[in-house]
Amino acid sequence: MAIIVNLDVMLAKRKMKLKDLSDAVGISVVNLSILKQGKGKAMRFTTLDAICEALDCQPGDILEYKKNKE
Amino acid sequence: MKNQSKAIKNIIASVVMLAIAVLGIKYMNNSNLKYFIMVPVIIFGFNFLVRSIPSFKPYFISPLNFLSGKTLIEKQLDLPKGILVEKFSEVLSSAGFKLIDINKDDGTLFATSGPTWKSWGDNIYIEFDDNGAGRFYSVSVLGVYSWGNNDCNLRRLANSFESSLTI
Repeated sequence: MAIIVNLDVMLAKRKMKLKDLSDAVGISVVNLSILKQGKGKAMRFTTLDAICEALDCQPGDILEYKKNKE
Repeated sequence: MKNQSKAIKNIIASVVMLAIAVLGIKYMNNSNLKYFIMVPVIIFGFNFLVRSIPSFKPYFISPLNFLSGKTLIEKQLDLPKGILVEKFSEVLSSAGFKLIDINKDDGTLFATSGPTWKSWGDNIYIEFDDNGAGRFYSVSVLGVYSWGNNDCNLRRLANSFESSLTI
């Protein structure tokens, strides 16, 4: 997929664990793991808002667009 | 209310099976025909009793058990086994199935569906391997033919999983 989820990068920068983020945003660890691995189909604005607030970052810090190599 | 109707259906099924068995023995003169009819009734009764026991999984999914209609779907999901098991425990509940057994080490789940007008209830068996490949079984416990109910169960599960990927 061309959209890369950099959740693990931001978690490392904030020295946070997935479990802590899960507690902060109210989304299960399983769902955050799926998101982190880029296996999610879509992301709600409410989820993005909660993650950005918990990690004190911008949506662009979490999501990145990379062109697919032909 | 749902549990009550399920209990009533189960009681009716038990009474019908028992009635067929008793009447079959009492009124059938041809002993061969009697046993021919009795065998499926006894098997369905046995299936009904053991349907919620996880250790009977090999019996229900075996291709030799032709008295239980079954459908198998294999799908590659490319996620770790542990995550898939936890995810599907959520998905099964949200799709209306009753989770009976979950084994994170083996990557297996077992759930049952309630009775509908097409079926007395079906068993759902899910197993994941270490590479994220999933095998999904839907088994009609009391029916040789599922009348599309097994496909419906698996479709419901797939739709629930798809919608759960919107996080």
